[in-house]
Amino acid sequence: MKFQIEDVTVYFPYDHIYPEQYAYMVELKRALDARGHCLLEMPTGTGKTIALLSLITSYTLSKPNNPVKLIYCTRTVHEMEKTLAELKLLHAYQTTHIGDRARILAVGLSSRKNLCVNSRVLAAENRDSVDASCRRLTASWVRAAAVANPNLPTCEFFEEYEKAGSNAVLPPGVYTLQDLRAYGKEKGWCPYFLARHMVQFANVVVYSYQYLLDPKVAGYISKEMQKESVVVFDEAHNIDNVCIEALSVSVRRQTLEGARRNLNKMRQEIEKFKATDAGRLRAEYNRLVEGLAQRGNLPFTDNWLSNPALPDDILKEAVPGNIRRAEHFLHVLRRLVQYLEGRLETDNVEKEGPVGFVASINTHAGIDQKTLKFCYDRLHSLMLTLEITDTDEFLHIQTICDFATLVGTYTRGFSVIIEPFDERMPHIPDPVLQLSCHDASLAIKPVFDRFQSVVITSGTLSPIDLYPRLLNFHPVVSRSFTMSLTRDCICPMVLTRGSDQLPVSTKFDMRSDLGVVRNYGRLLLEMASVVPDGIVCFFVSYSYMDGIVNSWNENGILKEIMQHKLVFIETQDVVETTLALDNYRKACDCGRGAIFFSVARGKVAEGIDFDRHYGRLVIMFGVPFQYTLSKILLARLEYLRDTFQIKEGDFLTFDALRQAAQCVGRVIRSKADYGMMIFADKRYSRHDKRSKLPGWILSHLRDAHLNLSTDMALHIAREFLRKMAQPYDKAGSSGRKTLLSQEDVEKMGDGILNEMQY
Amino acid sequence: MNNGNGRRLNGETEEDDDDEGSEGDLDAWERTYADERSWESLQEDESGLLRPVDNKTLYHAQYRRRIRSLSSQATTSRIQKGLIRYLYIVVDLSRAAAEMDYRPSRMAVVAKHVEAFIREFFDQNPLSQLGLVTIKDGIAHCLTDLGGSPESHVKALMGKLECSGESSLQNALDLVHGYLNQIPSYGHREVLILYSALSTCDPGDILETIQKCKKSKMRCSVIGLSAEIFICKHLCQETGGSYSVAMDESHFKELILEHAPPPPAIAEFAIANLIKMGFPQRAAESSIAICSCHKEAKVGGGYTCPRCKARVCELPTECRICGLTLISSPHLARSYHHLFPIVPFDEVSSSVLNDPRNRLPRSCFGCQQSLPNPGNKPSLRVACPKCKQHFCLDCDIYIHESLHNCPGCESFRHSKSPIATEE
Amino acid sequence: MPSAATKLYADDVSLLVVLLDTNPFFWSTSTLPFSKFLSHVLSFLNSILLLNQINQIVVIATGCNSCDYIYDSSLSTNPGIEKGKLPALCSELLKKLEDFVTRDEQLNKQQSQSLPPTTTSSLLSGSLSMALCYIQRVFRSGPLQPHPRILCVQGSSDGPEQYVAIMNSIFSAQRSMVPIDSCYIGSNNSAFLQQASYITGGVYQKPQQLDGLFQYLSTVFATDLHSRTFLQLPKSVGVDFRASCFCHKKTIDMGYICSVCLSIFCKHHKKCSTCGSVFGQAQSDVASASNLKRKTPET
Repeated sequence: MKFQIEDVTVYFPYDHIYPEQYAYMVELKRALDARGHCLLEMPTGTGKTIALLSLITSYTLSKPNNPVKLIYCTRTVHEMEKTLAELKLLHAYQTTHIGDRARILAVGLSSRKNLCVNSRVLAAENRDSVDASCRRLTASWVRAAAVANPNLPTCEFFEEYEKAGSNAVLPPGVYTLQDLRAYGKEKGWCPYFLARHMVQFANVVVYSYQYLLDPKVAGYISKEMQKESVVVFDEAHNIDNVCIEALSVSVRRQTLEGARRNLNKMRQEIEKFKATDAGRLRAEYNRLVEGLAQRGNLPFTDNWLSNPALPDDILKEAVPGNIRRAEHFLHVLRRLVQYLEGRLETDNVEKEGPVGFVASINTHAGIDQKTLKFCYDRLHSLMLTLEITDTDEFLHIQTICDFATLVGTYTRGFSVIIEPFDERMPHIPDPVLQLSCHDASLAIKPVFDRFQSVVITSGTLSPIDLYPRLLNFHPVVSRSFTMSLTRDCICPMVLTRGSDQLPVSTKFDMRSDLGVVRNYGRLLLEMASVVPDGIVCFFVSYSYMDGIVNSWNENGILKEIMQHKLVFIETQDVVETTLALDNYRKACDCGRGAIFFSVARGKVAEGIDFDRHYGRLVIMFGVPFQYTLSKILLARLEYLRDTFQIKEGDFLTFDALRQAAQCVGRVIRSKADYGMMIFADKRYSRHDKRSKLPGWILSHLRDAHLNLSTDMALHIAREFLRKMAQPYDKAGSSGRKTLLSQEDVEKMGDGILNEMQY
Repeated sequence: MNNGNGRRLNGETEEDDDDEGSEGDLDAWERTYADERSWESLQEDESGLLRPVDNKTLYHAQYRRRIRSLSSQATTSRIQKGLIRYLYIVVDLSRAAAEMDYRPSRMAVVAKHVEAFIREFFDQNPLSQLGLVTIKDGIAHCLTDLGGSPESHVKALMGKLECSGESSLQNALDLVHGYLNQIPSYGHREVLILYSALSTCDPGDILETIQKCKKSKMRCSVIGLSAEIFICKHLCQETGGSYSVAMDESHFKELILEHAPPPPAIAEFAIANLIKMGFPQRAAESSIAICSCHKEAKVGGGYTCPRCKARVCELPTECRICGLTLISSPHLARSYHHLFPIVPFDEVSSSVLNDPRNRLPRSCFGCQQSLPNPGNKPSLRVACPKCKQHFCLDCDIYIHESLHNCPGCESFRHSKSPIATEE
Repeated sequence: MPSAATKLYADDVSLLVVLLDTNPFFWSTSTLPFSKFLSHVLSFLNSILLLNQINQIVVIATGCNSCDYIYDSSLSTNPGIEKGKLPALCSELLKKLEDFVTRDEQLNKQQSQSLPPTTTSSLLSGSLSMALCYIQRVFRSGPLQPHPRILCVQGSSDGPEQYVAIMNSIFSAQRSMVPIDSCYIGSNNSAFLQQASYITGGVYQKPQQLDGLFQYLSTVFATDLHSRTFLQLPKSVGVDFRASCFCHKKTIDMGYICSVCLSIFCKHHKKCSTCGSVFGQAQSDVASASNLKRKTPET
């Protein structure tokens, strides 16, 4: 259907639209008009992606003089593929309606591992080794040598691509990663480099967060993106954590040992070079002096290391004199490594700000701040000179240089924390030095500054006013939408006690209480006997999950549970977990029924959907607070309190409930779906905790469903399941319409918006 | 009291004073309110005042929706009905059937309604046959073979039924599939599964069994007593059956009786054939003969098989001696209304009612009940699109569910009674 | 569907719905004049009302072009009844009946202008349907109900085009446990009514001497359902349930039934003439439905 939002004609590929999708598009358009940033919360299963894509592409079509590029960031490759598939549909619809004017180029971009078609390179086991094997074949010096000596192996796809030169373009269309691989195979060109090149010309680019937020990667992928771009971060509720992780480094004994080895190797290489080609080293020295190492005159295949600190202006300074010579630089690094080893031998926990740490490095190792700041660049340049392609071997020294540069660049927003052992296992010495970033706004600031509009959207962004403070930006639009439903397909419940009326919780002092364990066990058992197909259970941590499952096993409750349904569990191993998930789905499909035990902050909670019969009930056992005694967390909380006046308790609760909402939202993916959610902890009944749940959950949480005991929850569950099993009328025959047709949309004015806002 | 789509207010679960001793049975406070939840029959109207829910119109509206959907399917797609049905009823006697959310227990309720269904089934499908299968301890047993007389089935049901163990859908389907493969090709194969359990423990791949059933053109329907299970839904979708979940006992009765009239049959499912049948005459009152079903001498009323002259006691039946199907013409006539259904009546719109120029009949044509002039409320009368007579809502339901004649069309010769020509 | 009334006033309270045949084609050739016939019937109706204070009578007229309600004893508000004055019943009934017959005849005239009269049967299916609707209403009326039954006083011959509708009514009456009594005053037996009475458990009688119609009515048909268990009523003999084949209309003992549309044939055919299904192979929808036409079997 086609309709107008003010001056933009929107092309939407379906015949019906939900009212909340319409409202979402209106708000989005406002933000685009204002050229500002926005924060939009819309629940899962309401077609957020297609609404976004169709509005932005239609916006571009309406303003052909100011074309707007769309940069769409997703968290996982799977989400990337899904988005591109939706875009394909949209594109097909638009081209049939408008013709060639609507043709666009949309590409997805991912790491070499997902795009390479060269079977030899792909045979490498992980991402870093794929990168390394690729470089072995495509680095500029390798290719130069191959011209001279045809026996050296090169990548035939890359060679073809280079030969094609300016003809190597992608015709307009939407390309998923699969499409790119197929195209590459067909033409004999390397899909990865082709995609990287086309990213500059594409109208829509879909890639992962790291390509914009992680400075190590963003520098060369996204540096050419125009200012008039709209950046969308989808499923961005954890964006603050992503930003923080992008700028955090941790250094362990192994790292330092590895670094030493790397340094030795590099020294050998330098000796070799000194013997054979003194001229090259001198050329490199000159290059540095002229500051050419900083920007773009190197062939782009070589840009694989870039400075983690983003601000351009800092890097434009000339490289300090004392590290111009390679050997001198290696000495500096060695001193640094030694200093860090010394620091790691401490018996106490130590915490310092970056300024203090840099000062102490200066005193003890004689390295000043400016030197530290340019470590990363210098290393990069050196490795290029030494023509090192096995980058995966040199990861440790890169980490150290990363650390050095970050600590040298930033004076606030970071802490250096040294812990001799993990608090939870005090007798095992495991020293670690962590440079942890506390300020999420640092990594994302360049994005906000540079691009015209940034859209942060997710299903669980509550409370929404916390995000602008954490990320330090000012959105022009900040809205939360609810789902319009013909029937209440979600049934959230807060369970605070067991059948014996004893309260249940995962509060630390109550964890080993046998009564609590038994009540939780009985809750699961009762629910397993009443809920068909799949049940998902989230626990607050791996150790808690282990402990409670053990206790259930001893009690015999686990055996009873297994009589009703099969039990699968998530472990920290990816392969095992994937296998468990697979079997879980099979069990649900064939009618045997299954329960999946998972952890609230694990991979499953972040990425896997349990829609339809795979998740009819999700139980959140407890409140998933972070490990509150972790030093990093404490440091961050302190920083937040000092800088943003956010109370520790508030932030912890916010973070815990955000995680809980995320876990629980896995269960509904569309409006025809239905599911129940149980929050099993007495603390959820308190208003300060409950109010932090997203609006679309709270709107279904009736007062009668608060403060339940197990048998009451059972009764409610039975009724709900029976009611939901009745046939469903999609469009809503009585009362409000939940599916609008073309005429409805045309008749609607602004009135609908007020209904939709929460 | 079936409240249909009415919203339930917050009165169901009391938050205090529940005794948790009995997990499965209704607690005392629940029992008091379970029968008459009078608060559920209250609704808020536009101004916020409470008033009793108008059940009748709700019920009628529901009913009309159902009829509409059924008839629109039939007329637009011209699907015929499968009149000669071979139906197996699979009763789940696993552990879950002993639960007491239906009183006295699920199993007892199911048995009661299956008995009513059996009678209704033979009433509406005199040429069809029915068999019973139970699932217990994961194994499927055949309770009664396919047969055309209701008594034997009912007797088997009324016997002692015990529940235990797991339920296995695959075993039941395999068993039924084996039996139904042996029936003549003109018959329609159907299975009705009454499922209480929430899962199924199968020895092999149930998806394969489902494909097997689909290939053999078996139409499987499921009525669930607890909640919606994916595998049942999948089974019904693949084989063209219907899946429904009962909300309470009366709803269950409704759902099971919906399967009594012949379902729309996919034409390719059964091969058309001419079936040889006999129309025996009733023997004279004073004649004495040895009846072939009881093997004893009987006096008087009975029927003589036209082919082998054996005496049978009742119709319809299969002659035990020569195997000829014996029926009487009323049996065939019972199914004629499926072939010539009557059109659903239209609601008389309020614009027509309120128009003072129209002279409206003041009473229902069928039962002479006076039809009030409704004013602003939804109309309480319907009209036949052919003869334009007005009827009250209850007559509408009776005419479409039981009588299958429109009194108006039958009472006027010039309206060309619809049986003479098909639509 | 509500089955038989389970709650009664008392065992012998009845609701009698009388279907009177007013077909002029029959009455013009009948030995018993219509007026005499009416006097028998009226006396009979009065006797019913006298048997029990709460007995109820409804009279529906079966014409040849229409059917209508003539009289309902529960609606009578004439104070004359309290004093036991009989003429009140008669006058009301007779007047309505006269109006009905006039209307029916007018319809006949309209009808005969457009088409020549093809049949001389009355619309029994219509009045049966109306009677059953009325009885259903009584079933809904409250906790105390009388025993309902239908009495068909018919003289016209059976109209074969009404076969399916009459069978539907019969089965519906059987489900609701409403017996259909038949008093047939025509010349040959009516197969429809014989079947009706047999299936629903009513009494069929063809009185031999029409002059004594009142005697037959009051001895056989006036008894209420409860008392019938103690009486010896005319048994049903000679009900012929054999079918007639569609192709020749002759009655057959054994025949072939099409499994799709249940049409009856006397010998093996390749194709069903009613629904067009080809025997021995799976059929398609479209071909069969468009050919569907129906001829009624006669029994």
